[in-house]
Amino acid sequence: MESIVYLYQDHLQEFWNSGQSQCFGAAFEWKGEQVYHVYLKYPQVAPTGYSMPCVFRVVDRAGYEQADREAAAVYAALPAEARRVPVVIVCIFVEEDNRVNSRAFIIDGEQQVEATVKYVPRHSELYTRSKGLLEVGALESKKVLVVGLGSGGAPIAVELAKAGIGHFILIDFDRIELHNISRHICGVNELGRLKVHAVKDAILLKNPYAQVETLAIDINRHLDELERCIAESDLTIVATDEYASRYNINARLVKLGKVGLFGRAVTRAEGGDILRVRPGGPCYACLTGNPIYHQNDEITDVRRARELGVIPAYVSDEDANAMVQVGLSTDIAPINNMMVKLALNELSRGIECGISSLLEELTYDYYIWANRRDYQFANWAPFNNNPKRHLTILRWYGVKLKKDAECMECR
Amino acid sequence: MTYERYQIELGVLQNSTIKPKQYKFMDMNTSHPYLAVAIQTNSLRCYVIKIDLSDNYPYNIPKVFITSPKPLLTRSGGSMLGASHSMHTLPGENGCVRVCHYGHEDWAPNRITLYQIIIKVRIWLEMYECHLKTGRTLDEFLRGANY
Ligand SMILES: [Zn+2]
Repeated sequence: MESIVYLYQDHLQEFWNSGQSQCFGAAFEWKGEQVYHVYLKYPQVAPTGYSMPCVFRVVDRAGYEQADREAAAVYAALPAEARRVPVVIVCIFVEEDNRVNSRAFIIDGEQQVEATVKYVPRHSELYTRSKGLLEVGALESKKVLVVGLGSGGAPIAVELAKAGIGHFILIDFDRIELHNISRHICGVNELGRLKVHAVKDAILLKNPYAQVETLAIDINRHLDELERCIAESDLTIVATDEYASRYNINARLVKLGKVGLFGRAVTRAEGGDILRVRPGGPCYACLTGNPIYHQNDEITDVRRARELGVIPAYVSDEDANAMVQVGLSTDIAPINNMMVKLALNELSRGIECGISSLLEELTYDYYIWANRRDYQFANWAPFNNNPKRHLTILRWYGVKLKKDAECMECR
Repeated sequence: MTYERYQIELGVLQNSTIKPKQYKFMDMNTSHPYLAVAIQTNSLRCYVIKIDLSDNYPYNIPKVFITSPKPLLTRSGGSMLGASHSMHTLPGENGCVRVCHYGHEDWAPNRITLYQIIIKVRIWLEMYECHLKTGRTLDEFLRGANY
């Protein structure tokens, strides 16, 4: 099997600039796959794989041509303890025109294998692929605030990073726990971590150059900080699981004339909805005061639902447990997907790009989606028998929502 | 509560049937602001209620307590400090009975003001007095009477 060594271009550059002829780094192997990632300094995100020592060596042209011998000599000179495990040795040759060449070897005692070297490019080259459809350069300067990093906010944040958004503020005071892991983008190896840190890492894995600020705070108790974050951001993603925080965000969006997207799943994730708050349009309180709106949020955690009063105090523990209605991740994905589309839409406003036509069509402030004909969607038409084109499942409906003239929050 | 909202609430109360001497906003510049209201029922009995504004009012449903008489008792002299579906109470605090007024489903902070909460509590108190007379639960009175 071919061995592959990944080198980070900016690490190499730094090493070369330092003028050293040899230095130690660390390699991480995907065991059994012979794929190695080699680092000269701590990467932004904790590396994955099993660690092993690594030596970088600067060589001249002759040394480069006989790099296998150079590597063997470097290996032989290592202290015996370092040779107890396989070692990665990288020989670097820089030509007059500053072109960097490298050859890498995996050496384990008598065994020496040359690996194919691949480079992880620098910032400027990472997003060349998606250029054209989205104006990546323009999106890179945008800042998005994501409040709530559960099964909604976390994937939305990562998806926006993939699209090239360059700046984030993440807010959530929760930790990754067992009960929410099956629907969360983070894995069991991250149990106990603050969600803000885990999601920051997930963003940096997709865009190592993103600027991510994290705040593990309860916004309801830090309203000044919340206002600062909303004021600084181009868009606010509201993916929290309780009303007070949504209303607090709403009040500040209205006050500052900012744009926000409120997304959620309802009851057993049989559906969901999205509200877009824009200056002059209806606000979140206009929506919740409207008969079209269903108050029943998805309940995923008894303790929290009791705290919030969603499950009243007189409901027994047994009945309360029956009310926990965790939907499938796949039922939440469509809502997240639409949130991302609407977010990119708002962020691309005024920029000529490949999704400009969407902007002309996604003009509604409120969107509804049904996954299946349950609860509030029980009387919707079946997907496969709908000659009169009634409301049906698995498609988005835009709703013309009027501003509530009497609304105490935005009038 | 923001200053703007406070002005709105004050405006609604001033234009309502509730007289200025019946209510008073208390400790407004502290972390535990509340509204105290004296309510007289049809039987001319007097009650004092406390609407707790400390937890992000109006975005969270405020807790409402009967601070006088303290503690309020059932017809048979039993405690009402526990949560009861049939009596429309939630767990009491500091010996005060807590009344269930608006639920999660019908709470809308942009339409509901303190005045409407006071009216709901007034109705609760009238039903409570019916309970004292008849022994029937509040739930029994409410059934059919969609208020
Ligand atoms: Zn409004």
